[in-house]
Amino acid sequence: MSAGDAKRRVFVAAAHELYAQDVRNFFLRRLRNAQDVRELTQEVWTRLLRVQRPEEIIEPFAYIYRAAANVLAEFRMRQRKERVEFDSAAAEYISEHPDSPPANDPASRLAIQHEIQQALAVLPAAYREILLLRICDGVSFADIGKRLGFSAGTTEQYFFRALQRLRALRTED
Amino acid sequence: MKAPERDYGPILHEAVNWIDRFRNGQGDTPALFRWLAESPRHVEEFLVALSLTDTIAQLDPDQRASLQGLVSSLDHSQQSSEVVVPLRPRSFSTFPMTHGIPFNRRAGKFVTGCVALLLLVAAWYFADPARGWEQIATETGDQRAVVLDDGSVVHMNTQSTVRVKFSDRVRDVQLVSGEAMFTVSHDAQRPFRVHVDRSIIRAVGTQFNIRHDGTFTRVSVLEGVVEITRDEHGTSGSEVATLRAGEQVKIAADGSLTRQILTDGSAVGAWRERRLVFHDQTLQDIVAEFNRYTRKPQLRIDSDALGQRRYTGSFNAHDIDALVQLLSLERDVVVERHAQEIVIRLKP
Repeated sequence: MSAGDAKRRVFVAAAHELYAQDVRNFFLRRLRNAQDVRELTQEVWTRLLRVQRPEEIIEPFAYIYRAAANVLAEFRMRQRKERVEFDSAAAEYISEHPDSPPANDPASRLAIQHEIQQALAVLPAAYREILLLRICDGVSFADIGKRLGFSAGTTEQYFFRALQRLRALRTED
Repeated sequence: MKAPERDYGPILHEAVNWIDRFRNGQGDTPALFRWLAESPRHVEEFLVALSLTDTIAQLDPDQRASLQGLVSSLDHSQQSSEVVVPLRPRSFSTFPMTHGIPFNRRAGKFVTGCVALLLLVAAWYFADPARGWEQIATETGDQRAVVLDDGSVVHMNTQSTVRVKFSDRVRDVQLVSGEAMFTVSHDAQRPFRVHVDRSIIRAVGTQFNIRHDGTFTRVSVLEGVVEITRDEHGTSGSEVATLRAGEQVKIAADGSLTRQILTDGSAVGAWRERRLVFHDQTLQDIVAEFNRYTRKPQLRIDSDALGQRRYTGSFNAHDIDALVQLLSLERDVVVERHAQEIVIRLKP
């Protein structure tokens, strides 16, 4: 692989991450207007309906993120007078680490991670543990269950309840 | 009409199962797209689930460790931590801007505030060029809120200098350079006047923002009414304009006025939250704005055509990387990082 190819791949990955981050910010921000979310997902849905040959899509998640990011960008253009929310969490992080916002780590991502951390912190300990083991470490429900003293079925049930709680927090508007 | 109670459960569950299958290398793209096509609700839950799981997956070990700390501290410190410390030296007080910053970070901010205060008081005692005027200045990247004697508040932006002189009859303030937002407390007996260049902006009780950048002055009124008069040889001349809430005026060096309607009031004060908001503005202006906040590295555009391109966006004033990222997405733009500056140019 040439140096140019490598550079291009890094660039594509960075671009993809930026689109994905934009979508994550939109869906995970608190105080998000439910009407906006509905309007936006309706539009993403109609775009996905137009996909003729889904089997040719190599990275489906990247494709969906990208589609949602495009809709989001147009949505903002229409709404020109978008209300600006102050990213206090991001500002805080930056004020504390003035020298080290990592190059491809936009402040928005830190803000969202900060909010998710807060949301995780108020979950029951077992729920939180299951979420982290499953999502971050990729441990199976059976193995998590063994570790925590639950059956695999109970562990899975707790896992979904935990996600539902986080999801409900996200729409508190 | 009340929206029906939403039950995310089953669809969220399915969405997570789809994500799981792909993560385990057992994804079936056409089947996923068929499922998504069934309903916009599927799309919504899928996007939410993807956003949630990806964000959690991105937490690094440090963040997971700090999560443990957060959990144990939650038990003790649910109480509110809004502490504003109005320190009062002889004639004005100053405090660092604290927008909902949690308790444990206050201490550092407080110390910074005290140091700033000491410097300020020192500057006021030793470097007062105009007699009778108290001078307050901010450095590059610095912002400060100052409470004046009468309770009015001046939020000063980066690289700004303000001088204050109050008497029994009038409250005089000079905006020597930079930008400041004034929230004026009502006092019908003592008009509040801001002198900028050769204009006087007079208010009774109101909120307005003034930006002076050498070539012109822009006054934006958020609340109440202000009058702008020409300052001829130290005496105030006749009234030249009255501005109401939602109006903005641009004053050129020769004193000519251009009236504008304020399209987005929140953008005017956004700088107080260290947010830079641009609506369809040239890259040249955007870069100049970023450079007001950061001493090093400075941004430089190496092409006039590029400088004229227009962008819309909202940035953290200190996050130059966000702007650089945005520009890196342009196919024909290269961004070069050097120690002293970041050069933005068109690809050859």
